[in-house]
Amino acid sequence: MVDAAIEFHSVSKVYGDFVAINNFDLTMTQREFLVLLGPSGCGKSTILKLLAGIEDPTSGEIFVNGTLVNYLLPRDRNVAMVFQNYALYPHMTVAQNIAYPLKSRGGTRNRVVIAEKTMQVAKLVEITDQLEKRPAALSGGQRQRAALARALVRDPEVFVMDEPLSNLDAQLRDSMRYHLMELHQRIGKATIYVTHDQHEAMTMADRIVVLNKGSVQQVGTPIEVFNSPINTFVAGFVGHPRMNLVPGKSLDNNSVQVGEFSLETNCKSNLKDTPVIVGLRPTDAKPEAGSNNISGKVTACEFTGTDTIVTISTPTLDGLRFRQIDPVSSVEGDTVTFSYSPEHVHVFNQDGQRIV
Amino acid sequence: MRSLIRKKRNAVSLQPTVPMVTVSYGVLLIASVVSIVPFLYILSTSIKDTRSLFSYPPDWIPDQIFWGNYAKLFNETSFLNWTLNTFAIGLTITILKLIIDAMAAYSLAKLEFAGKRLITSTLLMAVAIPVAALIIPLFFIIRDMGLLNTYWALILPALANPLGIFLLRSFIVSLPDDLIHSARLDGSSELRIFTHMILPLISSGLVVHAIFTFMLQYTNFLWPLVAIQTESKQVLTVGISSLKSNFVIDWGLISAASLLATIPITLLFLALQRFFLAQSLSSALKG
Repeated sequence: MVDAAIEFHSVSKVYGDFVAINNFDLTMTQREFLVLLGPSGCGKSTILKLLAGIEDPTSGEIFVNGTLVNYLLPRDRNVAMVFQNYALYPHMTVAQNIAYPLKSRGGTRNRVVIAEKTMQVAKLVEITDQLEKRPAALSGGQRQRAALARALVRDPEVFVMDEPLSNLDAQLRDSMRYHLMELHQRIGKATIYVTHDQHEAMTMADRIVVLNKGSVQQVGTPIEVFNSPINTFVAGFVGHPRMNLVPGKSLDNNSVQVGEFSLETNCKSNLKDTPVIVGLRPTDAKPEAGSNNISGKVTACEFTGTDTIVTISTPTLDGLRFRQIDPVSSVEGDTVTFSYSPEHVHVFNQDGQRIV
Repeated sequence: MRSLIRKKRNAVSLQPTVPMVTVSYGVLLIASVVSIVPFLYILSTSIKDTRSLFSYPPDWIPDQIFWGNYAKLFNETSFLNWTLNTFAIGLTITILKLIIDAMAAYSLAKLEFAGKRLITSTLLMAVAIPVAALIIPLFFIIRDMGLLNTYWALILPALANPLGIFLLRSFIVSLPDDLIHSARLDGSSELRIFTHMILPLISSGLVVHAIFTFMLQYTNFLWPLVAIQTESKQVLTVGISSLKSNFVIDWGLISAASLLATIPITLLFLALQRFFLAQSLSSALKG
């Protein structure tokens, strides 16, 4: 077996004048769980469709386990897809839905074998008691499991999942997320998972590909993407609450000027008096004075249950948000001070690229 | 509290009131009478002999039921032939149209190919052409093909009516694309997607289309009158109208034929009306 499960080589997809995917390059290893993360319309679902064969790339090559699949029909690519709306066949029972790929691929016609395989995957996704029902009679979570079972039954080489949890309520999404990860551990197939939910991406991915407007912004482990965002888009998109991105300028001695505050950074650039964008994660703020301080007046407090997000304004800066972990909580009108470790002060150039 | 009471008084109640129910039943009753009286009149005329037919005041139920009109219909006219012709032609057209229209509708709704928009708009324009305007050119075409006075003269032009394509297309367009993508990934060929996914999922549309097509053929008069000359090859509508001779109009005979001709189509409609209801309800809910 080749080491790379999926390879995209300079793949582009253009619809008329609109560039949906721009020069997409990616290599995925066997057993990897890769998440495509980005806002709506960034092209992440298109990448899945190109891989599955639902759409044809305008240029570039796609390989699955070393085989060029550009010219193969969807059925010959051995890619199983779980759709956002499940795409269960409404006129068939769950059992018929699961068995459908076995029958339509022209494999075995043996009813006993089909029934055995159906039961086997139904057990795997814990849906054995729903087999005789039609999809309309199932709950959201059960439909999701049925769709998974249908994808699993033909033992594909690659799984692709297009926002499979987005139609579920928050509680069910948590349990299904756990279930999906457990399933991935057990079957160990390369999986591409599309989501716009950064929490899902951070918790599930081996690697995350952050996309914007059809272009890859950053590829890395969740920790890399979170701790060292490569540009202001990734910095703003990954992490909740959103990173504060404020204009400033670089000073001597690895420090930057933000409004009336001078902050020390780990940035080794020796640019002086150059305009920069400074990124400060609300969650990295320490709610006490230190060496790198920002203080201002609280204009809003949002209590989230475990912590409070306070918004402050200073004479030159407005709308900066920081996290206060309870019980230290302020009220509107208070003057508060937060401090940052130098490694938590992110610096980007005027084009939004990270300055290392 | 007072404002609450006022609110309650002003609120529109969804419960039907007695006057509302009375009025709606009244309107329904009048509509039913208007529709059923001609039918009853035909029934009454068909079981009367010529003498009692013109008695004044007319009897709804004659003193003696006269079966002669029915006997004459079966013994002296080609009524049975006309009925068989109508059913054979109607069913052939219905089956062929379902196959052709469903395939055309699927490709126009879900497949991408060059000239799709041009074909769609051309077909749409063809729907707008009135039948009467087509009769003369159609006559020449069918004559030149040597098909005049054959069943093909009735079948072929009916197949070219694109209205059914748009009816079925609207059903297929509403099916999610992902269903078809999923079937393709699961290994289905285009034909299998069509037969195993599309057709079962638009079954109510197919039934509605079948009923419309069959009824249209069953009641078609003008084109069979032009295209078929041999009496025994004729269909019911033209056949019944030919019972009216130049000098005598045998109302009893015509009524018996009309009544018998109405029965199959009424039964068909009654048997399949739930599909009509389901269809009109679903389009109502879609808004």
